Amino acid sequence: MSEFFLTTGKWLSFGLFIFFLPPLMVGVLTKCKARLQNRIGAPIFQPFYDLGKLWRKGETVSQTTSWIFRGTAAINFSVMLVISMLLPWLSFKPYFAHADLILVIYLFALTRFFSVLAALDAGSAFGGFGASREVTLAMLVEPAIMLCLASLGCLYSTTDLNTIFTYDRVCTATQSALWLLAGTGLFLSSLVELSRMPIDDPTTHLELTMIHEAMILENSGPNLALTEFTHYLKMAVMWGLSAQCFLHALCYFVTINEFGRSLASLIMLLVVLIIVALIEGTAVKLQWKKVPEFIAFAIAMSLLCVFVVIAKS
Amino acid sequence: MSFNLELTSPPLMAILSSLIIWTIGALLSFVIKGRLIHQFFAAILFAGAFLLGIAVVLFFQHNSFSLDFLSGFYFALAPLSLHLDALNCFFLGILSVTICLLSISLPKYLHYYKERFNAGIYWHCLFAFILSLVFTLLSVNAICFLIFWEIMSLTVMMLIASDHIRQRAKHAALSYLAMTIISSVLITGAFLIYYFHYKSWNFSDWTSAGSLLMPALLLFFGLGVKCGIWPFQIWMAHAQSEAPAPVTALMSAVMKKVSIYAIIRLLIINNDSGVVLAYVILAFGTVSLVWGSLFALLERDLKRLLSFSTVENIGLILIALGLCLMARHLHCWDLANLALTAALFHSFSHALSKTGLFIGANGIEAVTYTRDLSFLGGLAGKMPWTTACFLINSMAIIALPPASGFASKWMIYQGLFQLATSHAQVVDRSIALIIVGIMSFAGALALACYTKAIGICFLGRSRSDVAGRAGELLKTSMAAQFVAASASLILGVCAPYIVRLFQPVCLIVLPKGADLHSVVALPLFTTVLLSLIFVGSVLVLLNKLSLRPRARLKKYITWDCGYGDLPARAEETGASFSESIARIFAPILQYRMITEIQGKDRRHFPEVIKFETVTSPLLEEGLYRPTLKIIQILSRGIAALQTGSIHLYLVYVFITLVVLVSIGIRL
Repeated sequence: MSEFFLTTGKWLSFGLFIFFLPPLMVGVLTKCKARLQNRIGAPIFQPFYDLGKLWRKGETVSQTTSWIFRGTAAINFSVMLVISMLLPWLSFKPYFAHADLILVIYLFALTRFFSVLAALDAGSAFGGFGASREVTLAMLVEPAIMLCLASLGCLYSTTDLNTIFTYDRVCTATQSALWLLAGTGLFLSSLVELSRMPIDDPTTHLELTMIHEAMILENSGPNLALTEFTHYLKMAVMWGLSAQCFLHALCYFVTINEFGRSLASLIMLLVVLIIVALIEGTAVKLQWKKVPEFIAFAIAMSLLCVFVVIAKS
Repeated sequence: MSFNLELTSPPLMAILSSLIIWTIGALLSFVIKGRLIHQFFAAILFAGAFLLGIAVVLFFQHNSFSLDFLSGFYFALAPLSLHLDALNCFFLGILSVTICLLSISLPKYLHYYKERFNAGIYWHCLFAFILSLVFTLLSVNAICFLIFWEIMSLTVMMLIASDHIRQRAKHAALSYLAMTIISSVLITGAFLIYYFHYKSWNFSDWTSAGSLLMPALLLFFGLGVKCGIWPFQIWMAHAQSEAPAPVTALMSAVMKKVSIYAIIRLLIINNDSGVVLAYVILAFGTVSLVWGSLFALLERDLKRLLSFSTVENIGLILIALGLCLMARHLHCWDLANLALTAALFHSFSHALSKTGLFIGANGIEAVTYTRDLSFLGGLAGKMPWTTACFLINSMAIIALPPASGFASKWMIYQGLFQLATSHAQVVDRSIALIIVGIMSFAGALALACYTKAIGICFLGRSRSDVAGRAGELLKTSMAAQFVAASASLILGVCAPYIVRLFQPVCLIVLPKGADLHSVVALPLFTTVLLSLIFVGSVLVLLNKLSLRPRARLKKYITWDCGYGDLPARAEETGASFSESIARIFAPILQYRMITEIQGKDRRHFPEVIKFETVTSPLLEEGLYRPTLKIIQILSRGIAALQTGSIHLYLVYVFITLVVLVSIGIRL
């Protein structure tokens, strides 16, 4: 019985993290960026206020849209929730059976499928631009994510993410190097997947250059709030995953207990956020034609992962 | 004439009666004419397919036996004999499901052709085509196989040409015929070599046929021409887009699978030492996978898009088969079983969802009189059910969970993964991981392709008047699509249980079986249930919100950054959607953009801006046209002999006589 209560408690606290961590992360990120530019910046709880405001507002929907447009927000939000339960993006995530890495990657693809369709649904030119760019980036970045995760899986001969990301084993130097490479590859790909700098400037006001923002241009009110929250959650999940990879790489140097690990994974997430803020503060948005060259770095990382894994065993 | 028939066995009875029904249909098609002709023959088609389906179910219920049908009738060298076992019965199952679905939706679509073709000949060829498909699957020996294979090819050629008023149909039929001849030559060559090696025409005597490298390669390429592997896929785009309704889907869903069946039957069975063949199959599968998805993305014709995506899926099946061969070589029986099951499962799920998609595409053509994506758009409001079914079937093709395509693709990934972690050589393991990367790349391309198809065809605003006036399809077509879509969902979610049904088939091909239920612990059940609960609750929440008096849901024109009510011409088109990918792959696609600006001061005050994107098929321009030129030049030399002058011919005759006589004297 106590086991049951423990699990329930774990899930409840994890649920709180799912709902409160992502907007907080975005708040911290914007705060960091503002401080880098010598501004005071908005309070770190600003994303909560923004989401709340949108949630209370009325909604305007284009006449040309079909059920796909309004359904997408609900579907993507739900699928992202499932992904956040499957993917070990925090070290204290409760156990969820069958966290298969191929399934997770294709669930991401499912959310992309619907968001691209929703962008095309209103029949706006900008939505179309965004959708076209989104599928292009996805095509380039998908092999990188797949190969990074697959080579980690090869290392431990399983596709189950719970087993791959478990901490109870000794880490050798090669394995630590592999974790570092995979973490870097995942981090670079996450910048592309989440349409952050230097691929896409999330704060720009020029719709012609946008990717994610152009796709959700027609959303408003609660629908937009849900879509935005889904995107925040995706951010948290993807950066959390690369933070976990870096933590595993660190395991070679220090061993820490479970509580320390939970704390360390939050700190690592913060470090990743600061790195993103640094990149966004200093990098310039790449020209669209130059984007494949940037993604080539991520793919190179993933190929290095493959080499390390094949050479090792 | 002697018959060796077990008339008591119910599956055989059912198969025979379905064959008889179709034969009667083929004969009647000469006689019957009238207004309801399409309905009548579609009913016959359905009846036969239904019986065949029952036969397949009955067979798998009493499984693990095989039936032989021998007759004293000889095709010159070998008797006409048929053999039914779990392997070809499975493919008969694909055939029957596809035909059942197609025959329901058929009459409405054929009405669209009205006077353009001769209904009698059309139905005659269709029945002959289907009968030859069945007989090809059931053939025991090489001679039977070749004869029915040829009948199949010829009837398909007739069917493609049946709408011969159009120039494009003629071109398609001719290019198909040329490719068929290449295929037959290769297959015949392979069969002859096998005959001289084994001294028998029976497939069952050809033990380890795949181990003889030369004929195995000939056979693989011969069959590959038919299932459209790279670089032989060029006939498909023409033939599949021009062929009338059910033929396109039948070619894509069944005829290609017959080639896959032959590959399994001849090259995978009893083949323990086929590593080179495995590499070849893997290489061609991978190239077809990428090539098909890349070219599908660029298509603006809906049916051509679907047929290019078939190339991609055949590539996937071939990867699974190559993997199976590789695993056999390594004696990893679990992996071999997994790979073979993946190939079979993917064949079935692809047939199912492709049929659904083709029914949808044909329906759109019948309603709007066009398949060109740049004239479609906004159909979602007019045909909501077709849209939903098309969506789910596309999800199955691009392997999104929870549809069936995901289950099979998951198994292929899992197989490659197991190879990468096995005791295989370094090269094999790295090949496996690289193919994993390529598959995910091609998967993302397929996603781009189908979001384009759905987005441009069904969503947004109508790009032409006909698309604006369209209405929902007939109930029967809708039912067929709905069955395909829901079946693929069920197959996908229940995959771990369905995988068990493939065991008897695997046992025929591989010497050792494996219980895949433990391997394929597909986690979909919980995931799907969980997401459905979430989706439901969120939808309820959203609707509650929009029902509040203050925050009503307002309908308004598309905002579009405040430009206001732009015309449909301002929308994203298929060409512009795929532009950013096409630009990256410009060298392969031969993609160019031509911009022409006219006017006095062109830079500041343009009067006319012309903008055009051009692609040219690399293979046809780079490989086939030069080859054809060389053949033409050579044949011109031969033509010089035939001048039409009777004197010259007499000289030829005289020389021949002298040569023959002198040879005779020598002997």
